[in-house]
Amino acid sequence: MKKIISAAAAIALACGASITAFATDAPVLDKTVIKNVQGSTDPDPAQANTTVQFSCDPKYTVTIPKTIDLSTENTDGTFSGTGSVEAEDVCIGADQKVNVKISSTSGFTLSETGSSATLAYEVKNGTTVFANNDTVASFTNCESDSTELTFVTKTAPQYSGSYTDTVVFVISVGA
Amino acid sequence: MKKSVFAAALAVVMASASVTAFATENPNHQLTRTGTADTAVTYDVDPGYTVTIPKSITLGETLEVKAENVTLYSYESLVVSISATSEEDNSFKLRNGLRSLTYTITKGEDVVDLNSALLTVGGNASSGTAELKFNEPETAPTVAGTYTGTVTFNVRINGMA
Repeated sequence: MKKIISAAAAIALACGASITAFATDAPVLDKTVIKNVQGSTDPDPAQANTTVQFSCDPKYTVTIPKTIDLSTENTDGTFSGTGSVEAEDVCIGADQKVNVKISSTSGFTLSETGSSATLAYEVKNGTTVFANNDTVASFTNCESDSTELTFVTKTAPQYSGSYTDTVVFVISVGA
Repeated sequence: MKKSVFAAALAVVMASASVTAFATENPNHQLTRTGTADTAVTYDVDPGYTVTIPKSITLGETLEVKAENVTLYSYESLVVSISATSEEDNSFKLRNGLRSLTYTITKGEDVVDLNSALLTVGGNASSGTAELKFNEPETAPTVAGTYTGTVTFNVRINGMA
C-alpha cells in the first residue's frame, strides 16, 4: 500500500485502508492530499474526512420606550405611566438569557425643570418593585416577548410643573 | 596467405553449423543464417492518482475536490463520492451539543446524495474538479453557537480488473 496522505493524523483515523501518513514530516495543510501510486491494484478505497461547520452569532432585538409619560392620575393622587420592553428575534446560546436592567442616577427621582422640586417614583412590574440596577426583564431563546413596566410617583406632587428623569436600560446576555 | 585460408575454412564451418545450444536459458533470439527476429519494446506506466480534499468547510462556502495525475487502465475510472457523515444515519446534519441543524450540498443545481458520484475521471482525462456548495440552513438556527459535523469522502476506482 503506497497511499500517502499529507495531512493531519486525524485524517488517517478515517481511512479504512492502511495508509502511511507522514504526519510529522508534512506541513500542516488545509487540504487532504491522497496520493495513490498503486492505482487499480489497490483494492481498498481511500477516504478522507472534511469538517463541516456553521457558526450562528448571538443576536437579538430589544426595544425600549423613548419616553414614559406619567400622565395618568390615580385615585390616590399619584401619577403613572407604562412602557414596554420588547424583545424580538432572540437567538442566543443555550441556557442563556437576554437581561435588561434599569438604573437611575437620581435613584428614581423626578426633578421639576424650573425649580428644585422633586418627586420620587418607582418602577414596577405587577406588584414587583425594582431597585436601582435590578433586572426588569429577561428573554430566553427563540422568544419574542415583552414586559410592561409601570412608572408611578410615590406621592402626589406638591408643586405643579414638568418633572423629568432619565433611566438607563442596560442590555446584556448571560445566565 | 595461410591466415586467409584458415579464416575462410572457419567461416565455412560456422556457416554450416546450426546454433541450437542453450535455447531455453538464453534470453536472446536464436539466429539462423536466413531467419528474422523481433524485439519487444515495453514501457510500464504505473497507475495512480492524486485527489485533494479540503479539510474543513463552512456552510455557505464552496468546496473543491480535485483529482490530478490520474493514470488508470482504459477500462477504469476514478470516482469520488461522499460515503458517510458524522450522523449515525448518515444524514447531513451539524450539531451543537444536543441541538442540530440540517444542511444540503449541491453540485450545480443538483442536490448531492450519499454515495452519488461527485467527480468521475476516466478515459483520456487525467484530471478533474468538482465544486460542491455547502448550503446554509434554510431556517436559521434558534440557538447561537458553532455547529460542526463531518463528511467522509470516498475515492475508489470503478471497473477494476
